[in-house]
Amino acid sequence: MAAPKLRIVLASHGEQSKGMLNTVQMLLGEQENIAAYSLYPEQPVTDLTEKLQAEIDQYGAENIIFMTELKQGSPFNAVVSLTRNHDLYHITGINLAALMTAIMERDDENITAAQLCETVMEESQNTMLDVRKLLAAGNNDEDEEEL
Amino acid sequence: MRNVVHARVDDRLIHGEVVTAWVPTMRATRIIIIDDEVAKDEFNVRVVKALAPAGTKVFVYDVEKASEKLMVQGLPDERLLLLAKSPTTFHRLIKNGVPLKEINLGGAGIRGKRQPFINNVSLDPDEVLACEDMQKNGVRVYYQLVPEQGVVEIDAALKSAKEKFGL
Repeated sequence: MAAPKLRIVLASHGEQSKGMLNTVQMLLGEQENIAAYSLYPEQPVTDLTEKLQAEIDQYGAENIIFMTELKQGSPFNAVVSLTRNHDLYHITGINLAALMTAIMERDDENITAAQLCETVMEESQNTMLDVRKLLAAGNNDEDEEEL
Repeated sequence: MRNVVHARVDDRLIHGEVVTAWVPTMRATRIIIIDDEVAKDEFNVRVVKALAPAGTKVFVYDVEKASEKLMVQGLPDERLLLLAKSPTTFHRLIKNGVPLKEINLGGAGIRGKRQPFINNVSLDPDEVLACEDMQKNGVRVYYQLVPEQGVVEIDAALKSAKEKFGL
């Protein structure tokens, strides 16, 4: 199969992006057209911004989905700063389920970056759950009063 | 004067520490960014307003406008968190007659003539003098990264910074 057309660029504080890439490849096999960047303490944010800018220069903003882990964190802010000059696709608060969805959905060679973002958002809505409450709710199914 | 609950120097402006720690701890309802450059930058103003932390509204003013805006009566129950990139900004506000009592040094990266001051705060000679002048005029200037961590008074750092810069 040809490499997917849409590129995924992960950026995080520390190793999370690289760890997620590692984990997702454990689950879905080796991936092409994906990159992971880290921002380390003592490192100026501009180091990261320059690397992300280079991604845009090389692959084109319309072909990249940026994924950051925390709204208003420095990696998020770095991507947002690039929207001054580029129309970017950027999802924040990323988790493994969202990354897996993005990787699987981009196999559809006709999907656009906008559509991929939409699908990732839809599929990620209920990926974080309080399992204790989930199990308790399951146990109380017959007892509507308890809900 | 309006109800300022916190005034912080942080050159990252609205950033993780501010959003997850200071805004909830201070129960801030409005974040006022005071910066002459940011106020002129339409892109930046649009972005910080669009990304306002939940439960807050963000406003961006230059020093002159902020000096006026902070001195009116304000809304009942509002709680203002002021953010500026440099202590010189707060120094100018105070000189303009805004009676701030405390300034929290939170984050200022090394660039230009800045030298390390306390932990992640670096200051240039003008900023050191601004802090000293505010202290002399009864404004408490202190370092604190997040509310959970201890406060560091700046007297010792001021002394060594003045020696270092030959002030």
